[in-house]
Amino acid sequence: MSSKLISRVRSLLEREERIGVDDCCELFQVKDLAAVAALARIPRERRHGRNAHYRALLPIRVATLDELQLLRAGDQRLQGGVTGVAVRPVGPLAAGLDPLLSLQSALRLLPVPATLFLSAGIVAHAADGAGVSIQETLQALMNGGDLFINGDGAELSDPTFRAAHSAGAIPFQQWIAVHRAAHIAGLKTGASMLYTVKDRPAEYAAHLQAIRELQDETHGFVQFVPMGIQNNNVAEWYLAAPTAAQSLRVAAIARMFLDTIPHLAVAPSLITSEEAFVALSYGANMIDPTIAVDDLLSDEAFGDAAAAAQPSLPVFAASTAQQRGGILPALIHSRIVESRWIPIPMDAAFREISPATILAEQQ
Amino acid sequence: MISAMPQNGDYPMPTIAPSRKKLRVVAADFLNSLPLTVEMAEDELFNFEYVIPSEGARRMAEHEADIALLPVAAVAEIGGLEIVPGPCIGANGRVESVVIVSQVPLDSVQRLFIDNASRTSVVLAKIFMDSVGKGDIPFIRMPGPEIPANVRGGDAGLLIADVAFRESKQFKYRHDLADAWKRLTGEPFVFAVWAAQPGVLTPELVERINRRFWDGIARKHQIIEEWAAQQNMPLAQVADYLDERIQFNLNKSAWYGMQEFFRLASNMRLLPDARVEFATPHAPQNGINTFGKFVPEVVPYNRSYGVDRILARADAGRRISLHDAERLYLEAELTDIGEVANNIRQKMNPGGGVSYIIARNINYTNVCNVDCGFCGFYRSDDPKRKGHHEGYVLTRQQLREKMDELADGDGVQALVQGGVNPNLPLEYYTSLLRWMKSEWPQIQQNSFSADEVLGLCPNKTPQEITSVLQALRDAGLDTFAGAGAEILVDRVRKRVSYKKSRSAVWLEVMRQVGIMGMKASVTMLYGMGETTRDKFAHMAKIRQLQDEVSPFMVFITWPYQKGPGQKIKSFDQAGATYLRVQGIARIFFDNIQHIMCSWVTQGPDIGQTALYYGADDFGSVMFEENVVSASGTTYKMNANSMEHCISQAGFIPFRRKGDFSQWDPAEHEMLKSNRVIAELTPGMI
Ligand code: SF4
Repeated sequence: MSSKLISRVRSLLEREERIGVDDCCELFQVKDLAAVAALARIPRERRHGRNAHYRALLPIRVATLDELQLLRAGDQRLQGGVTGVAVRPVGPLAAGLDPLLSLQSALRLLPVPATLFLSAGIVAHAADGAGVSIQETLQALMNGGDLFINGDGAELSDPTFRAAHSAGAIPFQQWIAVHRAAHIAGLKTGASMLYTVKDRPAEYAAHLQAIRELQDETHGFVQFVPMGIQNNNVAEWYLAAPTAAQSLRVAAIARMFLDTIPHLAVAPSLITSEEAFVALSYGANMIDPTIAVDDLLSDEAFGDAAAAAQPSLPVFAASTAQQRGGILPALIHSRIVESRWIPIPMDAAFREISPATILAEQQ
Repeated sequence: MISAMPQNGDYPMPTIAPSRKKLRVVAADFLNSLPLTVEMAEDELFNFEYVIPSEGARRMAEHEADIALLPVAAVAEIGGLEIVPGPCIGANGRVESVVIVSQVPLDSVQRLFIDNASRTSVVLAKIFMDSVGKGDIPFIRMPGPEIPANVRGGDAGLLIADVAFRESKQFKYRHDLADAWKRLTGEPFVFAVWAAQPGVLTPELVERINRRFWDGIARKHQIIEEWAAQQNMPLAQVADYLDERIQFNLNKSAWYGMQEFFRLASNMRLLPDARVEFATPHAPQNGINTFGKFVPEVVPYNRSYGVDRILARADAGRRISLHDAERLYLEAELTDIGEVANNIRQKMNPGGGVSYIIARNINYTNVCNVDCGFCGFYRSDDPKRKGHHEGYVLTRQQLREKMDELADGDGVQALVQGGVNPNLPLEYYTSLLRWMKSEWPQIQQNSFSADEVLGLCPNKTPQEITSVLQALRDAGLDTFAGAGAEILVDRVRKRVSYKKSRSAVWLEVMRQVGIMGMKASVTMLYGMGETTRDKFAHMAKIRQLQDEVSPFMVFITWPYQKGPGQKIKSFDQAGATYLRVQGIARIFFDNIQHIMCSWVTQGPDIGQTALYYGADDFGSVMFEENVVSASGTTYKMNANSMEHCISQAGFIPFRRKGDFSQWDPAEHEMLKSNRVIAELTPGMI
């Protein structure tokens, strides 16, 4: 069955035709990962050739404006090829439109370009709190400074899954509505999908289909990020997170299915740094260190990031489900080269930037 | 030896730019090579050295020579070399220096004794024996001079060079292999050619080598006289050999013969799939072509296949050369390597099973006098050195606790390894092994590195090495861990680990392991600033030794990771590089059955992905590990997590024993019941 499926999918991809939801479902069940990878390389290489993109950004999470004061020129955290910061508000700063706007004012004073990274949920809550529409909220934020609506909160569209795993997230239709509004307003946004240690092919396919439909309508998604969910409520740590085989398969199938989303990104903090570079051969074309910023918050985690600038990567504590990231642009750049791809650094708005700064750091 | 006699003839010797660095040229000083080498040795353009053929091949493999007179098997093994048109050492019919002898007709022969000193002759012998329906008989390696005395009854022997000249006449049945080749293919057999590193040859250089060759041919009779006198051989025999038996001209039919040899050897999986082709000489200009008056009949070139073709042919079961491996490393798509590696893995270890073992490292001492620059584990035995006071030797009581813990977890293997501690005599090791064997009979010993053994051999002779290994085996050593291969290129070894065994000595330990019929694992520690070529020169040496005496059950590789206090910088750290290296290793090692992934250094994710890159073994659960963890690596997995990882990747996990066979709980319990507990005194080591 799988060889027939693979040759059917290959011929569709080679003719630049779409694979269907059923194909997608079946592909999740193919054991031969090499065959799936070979299929994913068709759209990946057609779109990006040997290029591998990365955002040369430092992800930070801020709960108070005071925390921003720490980010001055000469701050060690702005080394290692960092060309901008991706700022994700939490706590009081994320609770309403006014705090978000005041955060944007503060960001303008930073010594490096700063972009506000928001989830659809924060935008929806800000609109609710301010008693204005999503469109008005987005417009106010766009006027306030650089803004990116990331893919957080997409989870899986399946309601049962959302009830069990993402009770705090906004409903999927609302998530879609925020992104639709952003696209209409001219903002490019990201999309994502959660996957778990237990494969759910039908739910994955339905979710990807919903994303693809919105993209067909608006063409506003610039990036798709598969996100392996960590479940800390299991006794055995190894059952908490999906394995590399699952992550590579999800990336590859998403690349095939989401034919109109430019970037298929993987997050070093979610699938371990080294596996992220391997994923470049499995359909991904982008390494995005801004994803799952929560794991990069503590000073301790940041210590790992500093260590990452050294030739060897930080060691992840694999004895727990927790896999912390913290990988600086200079190291991303050199790892991409070592993995035989051509590194293309990008800013928060997915514009290519000169690798000179990053390379200087690499020296 | 042969006196100088420059004979430049009527044509000026082609000049080569004076600024050019002297080319490093090596060749063997065999009788049949002298016409090709005698003039080259005296040419000021070359830095010429006579070396034995294996050393010539090594220098070409490790980029320490630019041009070498190479046996054709070495040309194929290294790959990517360019062949100088014009001269060769070949035979168009009977040669008398490569002969299979026996006292019984070939169809009664049961075994063939071979001297591995000449790989080309051994491959030729295999082709010949196969052609007469005797391809399945065992080939048994022994030193060439000992072969004639051992050929009795149903045995045959492959005699080469002077042993063949001297001894073959005493045997009732003699099969001259060049003659047999001629009858088999209708073409001459080519034994050796001048081969150059890619990009070295220019038309001027080719002409110069040809001029030197023809000047050497002009001195043939001088060579014959001096050789006969030096070797005390009849002049007529030497003259017959050089004048009548050896063909020096690499003409079209010799070329076809060489191509046919490569084709057959590749089909029979004896040699890598060499691609050596020829082109017509450049069109003559004013009556003289590119090579002046010395017009070779064919102009060979040896271009690699494209990377896709290398992979496709490897997938079809062909052996790849060192150069092919290098090209895959530099150019191939990662997942293409994985796909072929996985196919080969499925053929070599069918059924989709992935093994793992319950084993533990026991680092009985960290005292070491070798001082490797990449090692964060050892403490010097020199009291003046930093950290000396942290040196330890575990007591028997400490060892017992570790072994009991392993036994309680149903462990089946102990990896007893430590530094090269000059204070521990052989008796320490034998008594330790005996004690462990009697107290935990269900636990196999897969222990010690080559350097630990060498530390017990003051003179490092093969006899001494064998006797230490034998003593260890008699005391209970089941398999030899054999760590410490690092990179088997001395330029690298000297830099990262000056006092460690040189590659030839390390290989000699493993050769003795193989000759004794023991099994070992073999490793590669890369990422210490070695070149790509070095990585695969390392693998080529291992593969060649495995062809000879098969000591290795499993290959494991991982990158060096620099930890605090370690002097050597680390390179090639990407997980993608690890997968690339391991995948190529699976493709390259067509003669080593198992590949173990190194999740210990790479983490469970890359470890699991490595199962798609040729690994069929997940290694060991980790009770304790002190060597790589000294560099900061801290991954741990238990049996459940390993089984989960393996099955999530679509493979079937199974627990194995030290010899890679499936673990049998009933047998385990039975062995356990033979336990004899010794009485220990406090502090006993
Ligand atoms: S690697 Fe082995 S031989 Fe080298 S210093 Fe460490 S313990 Fe000694």
